[in-house]
Amino acid sequence: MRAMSLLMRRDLRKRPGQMVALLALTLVAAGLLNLAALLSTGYRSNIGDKARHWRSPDALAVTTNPPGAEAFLGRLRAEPAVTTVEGEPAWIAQGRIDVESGSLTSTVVLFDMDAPGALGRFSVVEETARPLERPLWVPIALAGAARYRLGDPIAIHTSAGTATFHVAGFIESTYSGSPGMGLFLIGQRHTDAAANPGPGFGSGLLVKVDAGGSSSAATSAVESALVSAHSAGSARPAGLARPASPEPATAVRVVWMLGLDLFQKAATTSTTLFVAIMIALALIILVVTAIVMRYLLGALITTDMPSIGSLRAAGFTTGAVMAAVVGSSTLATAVGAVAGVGVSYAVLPAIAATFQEQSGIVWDPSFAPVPLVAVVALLVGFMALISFVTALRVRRVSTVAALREGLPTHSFRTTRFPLDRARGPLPMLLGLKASLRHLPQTLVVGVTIATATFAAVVGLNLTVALLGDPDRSTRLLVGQVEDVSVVAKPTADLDALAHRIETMPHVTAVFPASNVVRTLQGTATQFLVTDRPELWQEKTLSTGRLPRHTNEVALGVGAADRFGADVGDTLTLDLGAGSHGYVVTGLLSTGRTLGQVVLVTTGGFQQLVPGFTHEQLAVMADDRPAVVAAIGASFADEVDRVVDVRGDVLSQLRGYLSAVPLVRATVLGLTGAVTVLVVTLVVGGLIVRSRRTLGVSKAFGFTQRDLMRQVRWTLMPAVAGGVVLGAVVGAVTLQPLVRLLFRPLGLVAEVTPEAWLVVCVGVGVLVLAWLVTWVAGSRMRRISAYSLVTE
Amino acid sequence: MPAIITTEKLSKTFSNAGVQQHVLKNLDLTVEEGSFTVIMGPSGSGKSTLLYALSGMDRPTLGTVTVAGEEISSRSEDALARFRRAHCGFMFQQIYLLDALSVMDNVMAVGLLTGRRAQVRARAQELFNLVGITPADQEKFPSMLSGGEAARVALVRGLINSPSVFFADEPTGQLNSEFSRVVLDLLQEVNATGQTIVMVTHDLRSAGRGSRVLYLRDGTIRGELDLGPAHLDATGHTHDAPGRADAAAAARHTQLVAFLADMGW
Repeated sequence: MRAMSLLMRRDLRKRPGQMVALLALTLVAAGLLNLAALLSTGYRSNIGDKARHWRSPDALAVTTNPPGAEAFLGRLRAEPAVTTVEGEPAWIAQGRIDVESGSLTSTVVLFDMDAPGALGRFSVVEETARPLERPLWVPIALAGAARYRLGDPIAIHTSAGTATFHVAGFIESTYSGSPGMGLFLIGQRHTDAAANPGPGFGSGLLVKVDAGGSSSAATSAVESALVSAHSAGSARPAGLARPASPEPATAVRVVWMLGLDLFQKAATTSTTLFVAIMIALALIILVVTAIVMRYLLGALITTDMPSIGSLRAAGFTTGAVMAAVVGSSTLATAVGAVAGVGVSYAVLPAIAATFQEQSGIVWDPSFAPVPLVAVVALLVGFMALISFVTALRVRRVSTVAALREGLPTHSFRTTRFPLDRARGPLPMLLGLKASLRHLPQTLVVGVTIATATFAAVVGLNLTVALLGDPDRSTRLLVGQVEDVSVVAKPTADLDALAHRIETMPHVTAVFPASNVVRTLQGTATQFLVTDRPELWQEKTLSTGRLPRHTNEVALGVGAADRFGADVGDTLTLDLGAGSHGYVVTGLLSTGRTLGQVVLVTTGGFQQLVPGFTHEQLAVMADDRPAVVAAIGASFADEVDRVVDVRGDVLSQLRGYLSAVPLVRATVLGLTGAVTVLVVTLVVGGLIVRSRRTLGVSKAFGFTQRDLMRQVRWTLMPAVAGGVVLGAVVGAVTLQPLVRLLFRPLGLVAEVTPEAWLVVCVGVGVLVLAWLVTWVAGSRMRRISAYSLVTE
Repeated sequence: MPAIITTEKLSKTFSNAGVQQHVLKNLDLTVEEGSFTVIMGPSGSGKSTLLYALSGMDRPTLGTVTVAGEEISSRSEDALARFRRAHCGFMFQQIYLLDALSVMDNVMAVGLLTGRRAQVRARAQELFNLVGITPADQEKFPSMLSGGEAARVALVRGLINSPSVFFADEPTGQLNSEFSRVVLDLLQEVNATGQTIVMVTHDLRSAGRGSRVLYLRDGTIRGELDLGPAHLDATGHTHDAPGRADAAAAARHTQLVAFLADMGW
């Protein structure tokens, strides 16, 4: 054992640079893998655990609270699937809250924190004891995105005016609080909850529904209760038939609804992407590490053969010699892996804070031993295997041959670029000869650079070309979206209202368009009902055409995948009023409800929901805030609410898109690091292996510049080849990869590789490799011909 | 004959862990053009250090070295490299052929530093013919050569640029007697054409081929023996019979042994 540790120490001393490189690579890989493991397990389980802790309902609906609300709640309680219903009075508004980088638009609900109730509880994360005027307990997401602190004033802007409060505390709950969910649940003390908080707020209800753990059953029950309550005259589901006569003011309207399943899916979508990226990067690093270490270890064994021969002559077994090589690599890997896991815990709070902004739920990740053990075991096992396979060559050499510096080399070699006949500068010819002679090394360099270039081309095109522009990202991630949505009051004449809005400044188009969320075959599905879909500015039709007739629909790709339907197929839909067949005319790319979208004409939807009439107008505007304010001010008697939809969506996306620069920087950083590492290792190894050759060359008159040029010609063709290969493969596979990545989100993303990005990556890698070659090769300058020849 | 190498107070000191070792001490020496100078001395006397200082492979700690009219003691590494390619040829004890290059490529790689391809190729063929390396051997790699063949290739490599001075460090150190004789014959033959040679050796037979022997001990030159060119008789003419050449060689050997005995060899 002592002899073994002696050999291992010798091995570690002999190649400190390699050990450091191996340690660094495994540190990064371990950090990425541990982060991925924690996010995919701890983060998800945290959301589920807290949902159970707070007894989060299977569905939460925010409705208006007219006199008919109790009847609606009664209908809901009578639904067979429902086990518990709680309805809490609340104040609701479409509001805008100022944040550091702009503003967040959302449905704002002020609820009574002291109200009794078992479902949908919350936790106070932080609060102040000092008395404040008009105190509010706001979602914890606002502490991150908006940088609000305790005691800060906070204004809620509605179309009717602005109400100012003060931040008394931060809360978290399942549904409460992130822009991505389109809802801010803000708490008030009972003493403040009774009075109307300010302009634009109306009386509402927080309806919490449990249905035996089934979100789809809970949302279906709400929809069903609304239908039956409407029949009885006390409720009207969103988008349901407006009665011919003015509707009584008893109609309950759903302003917002979400099932727990969909919330959890949406809350973990970005982490799923992040985890996928982490794992992909870790795999790339591991592949690079394996290739580089196999080559370097092989080269080391070759140059160390005489010493290995001496050890064997002295009595060390082949196994002991191999074990020392494997052991030292494994030790470095283990240290790097443990350190990497440690580093991942150091950055985890920052990552947790980012995702907290998106979900509104605090995640305090704690140390998890299982991922640590798994990651370390995986990496150590992997590197041990690589080292073992590489060290096997020691077995093939006899002790005498090893002493004679013999790994047997074949006696006959073809001379490429013979110097007496080949044309070209001498350093170029010698460099190319070396490159071809060490073909495995050349291939290692080429493949590694190709891998790094590929990752950069794909990553940059994703984060710059595809997701770099907020508007384009919105179009991609959300699809067709109106600038402003106007929800008319039941008593309003929608057509007349539309005509008048059309004449307002900054309004470019107005048309009826309703978004109705219904549970279809157990999944929340968004119906986009309009006869003028082509009036939306952006086209997110990926194939086919928009529906024109009552028996036609276009499907979001998420819905299409779920139904197994494609363009030209006939789909049968049933929302409780009978089945109807629709021809699928097109597929849409939209992230709304993860692609569970059905675009249908008014007549087509009326077949599913008899008596349906529009109550929403889609308004396209070139100055949204002005239009929202103007409509709210001019048509307060006819308009229930005015929603800055595009602002809402941008707010929701802000959290997700904030990760894009981080991903971009990570990809670029890793590409650069891999390039630097590979070139440094190869040039360093080349100098170590060729010290005597370099010394003899210097003795005969080769200058440092000559040798540097030779080294560059040895390395740079492989780098250039790798760059070209990686760039071409990246460009060619970009679209298929994007398809693979975005399809599960309901998106059909088409991206053409940006030529300038590809060129920049290629040139960047080449320049970096050139510079690193110059820096690494400068070590030759310190070595004199005399010392090299005489050592 | 004019001096091709001149040193003035040449000194070389090595430092190792704070301990200084003075290897060469204030050497003033001259090497004439066309001479075959042999440097002898006990192990650790500084023979190789002197050789490499004279050839610009190593910079002296103090003093000057002038070779072919160029003072080289204070030049940069790259300047010394450019100087060496133009004025110096080398043959090392360990041969140091580049095993990844063929015999021809080993020679061409050095030749192309100063000459055009056609000229270098022609010069290489001339030298290969001189030393007896066939065209088939020229395509071989160093691992396929015998010791003698490798030594001859090293000789060609050292002469390819027609150097002002050819430096040989124990050229027969790793050769058997037959190969040693071949190499020494070639060196003598090359010297006969006017090539200046400076050779370090501890072998008496090798030393006897030189025209002048310098005895180095403790970093200084303790003695000098002028043997005259080995291929010429006392009157300065080429030996006209093998018997006379052998007799002359024996006389030189006796002279050398006596000199070395005086030096404490």
